[in-house]
Amino acid sequence: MSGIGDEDERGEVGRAGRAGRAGRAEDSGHAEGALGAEDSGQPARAGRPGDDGRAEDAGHAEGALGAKDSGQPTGAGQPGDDGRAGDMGDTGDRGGPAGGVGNPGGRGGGAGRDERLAEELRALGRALDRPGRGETMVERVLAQIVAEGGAAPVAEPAGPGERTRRALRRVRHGLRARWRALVASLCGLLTVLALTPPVRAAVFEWFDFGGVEVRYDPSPAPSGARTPGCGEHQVSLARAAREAGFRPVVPTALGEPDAVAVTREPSGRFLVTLCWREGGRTVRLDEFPAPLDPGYTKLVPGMPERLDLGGGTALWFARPHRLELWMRDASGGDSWKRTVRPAGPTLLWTDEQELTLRLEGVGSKARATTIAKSVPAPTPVPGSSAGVERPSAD
Amino acid sequence: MIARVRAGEAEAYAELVRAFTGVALRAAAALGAGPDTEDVVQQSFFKAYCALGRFRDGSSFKPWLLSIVANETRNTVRSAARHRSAVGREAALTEPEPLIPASADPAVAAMERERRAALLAALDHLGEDHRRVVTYRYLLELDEAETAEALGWPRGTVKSRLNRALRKLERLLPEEGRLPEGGGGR
Repeated sequence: MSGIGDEDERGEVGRAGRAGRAGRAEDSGHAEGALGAEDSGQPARAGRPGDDGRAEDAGHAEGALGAKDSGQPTGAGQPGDDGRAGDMGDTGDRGGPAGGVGNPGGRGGGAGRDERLAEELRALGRALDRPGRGETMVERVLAQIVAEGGAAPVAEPAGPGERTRRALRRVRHGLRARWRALVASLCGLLTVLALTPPVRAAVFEWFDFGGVEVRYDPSPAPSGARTPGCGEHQVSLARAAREAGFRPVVPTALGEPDAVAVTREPSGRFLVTLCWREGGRTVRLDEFPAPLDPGYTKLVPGMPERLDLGGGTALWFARPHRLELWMRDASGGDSWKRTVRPAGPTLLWTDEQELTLRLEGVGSKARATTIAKSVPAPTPVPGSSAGVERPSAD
Repeated sequence: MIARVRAGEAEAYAELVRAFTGVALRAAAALGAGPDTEDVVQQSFFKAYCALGRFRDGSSFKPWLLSIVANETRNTVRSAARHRSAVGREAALTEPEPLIPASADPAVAAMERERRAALLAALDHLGEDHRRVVTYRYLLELDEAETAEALGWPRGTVKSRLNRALRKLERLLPEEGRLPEGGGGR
């Protein structure tokens, strides 16, 4: 079986076997007892029912190895706990001799005692655990990263394949910018979560889409989502174009809007909103240049569906969700203002002139898609698009 | 994962934190952070985040994190006497939470608690290296390779110190009370 049973070890084997029987044999150490006994000429023990089976399970390799090195087959074999056989081998192969010297024939084989001690220590470690603190810790750590403004960590160049200093600086710069945006949104996010204490919303995923940030938020979807209209300060399409500095597009499927509004955004940018009344409800299309970041955050209870519009991708948010409007200080820095409102099903897409369009108030995905597809391709010539009167900027 | 964090995905880091909070808390508690355990772990995750640039690709995150936790714990408890750490851990063990299943015989539970207190006391009498290797290998249940990585020692050193530490522990401990599972046998 193994290399045990050298002449000078036989006495030890016998003693260990006895020790094992006295101390632990009843508990769990059958396998090794069997191993030791067999090699040391004690067939009586080897014949004990169950011994052989246990030996197979516990993994002869480790037991044998431990036994060989330590000369204490009993100890090496002690682990009745199958799962621990590997660990046993680890400690057994060195632990044996010392234990033997310290306590010859004492309270059981050295390695067996080691294993018991190891198991006690593991239990001690587990006793230190306090369950259910993971999520709290996540929040605490993220909050600290936000508060102390840790820049995104950058891999330091290692060894021969290191990048040039310039490339590194470029990477650092890019990451720092990305991180700043992230930190900013996290700040707001944590505040929002604090506002809804009963639900600890774990945020699993987010992404940017044309200046709209989408976050997963498993909080219950808001009820009573009513699409807000264009408000009282309505303007003509032409005036909207002049004020906003870009030409709002009008989906032909919806026709001329009933109302148009321009909202001044931070950083001297503008949001144009077109509204239609449909049977007492409002269909609303927000348009803004995509680089405007981050204009909105959508807190969604489920991942949006990606739709192919032919010219690009759109996101379909079928379920009501919370929409967060970010108002950022003109310096792009520290001061934030935001409002949250419930939003109904929404289609989000970007057009070819890099406008982000956000259609809210159309409950049918098919119809929303049709509307999105009916947005005329951008053209520098006013009035050429599908019969919709388009204002000329300036 | 690490690459995703470096790419600025804070959520990827949140996943890491979520995954390793348990072992980090256990490590800080075992290393004697006492009532500061959670603060130590939070600080460690923050430092790990900031130091992620120094993380070697391809190595394992857990040992690396735990070495930071160990450092942080040391910094936190440095001023206090070693005794305090033992007190802190014992306090942790006697918190009202059900560390020992309620179904257990109270006498057995009391014995187990006593045994654990004795183990802790014995651990505290070990030298720094021995205490650390026992803590990493058993209390934190790292495997040998992870232990070696966390401690920055060769594996052979881990093995030999571990064994010497176990010998010492045995000598330091009172005559073993039998484990409750075994106590009823036969």
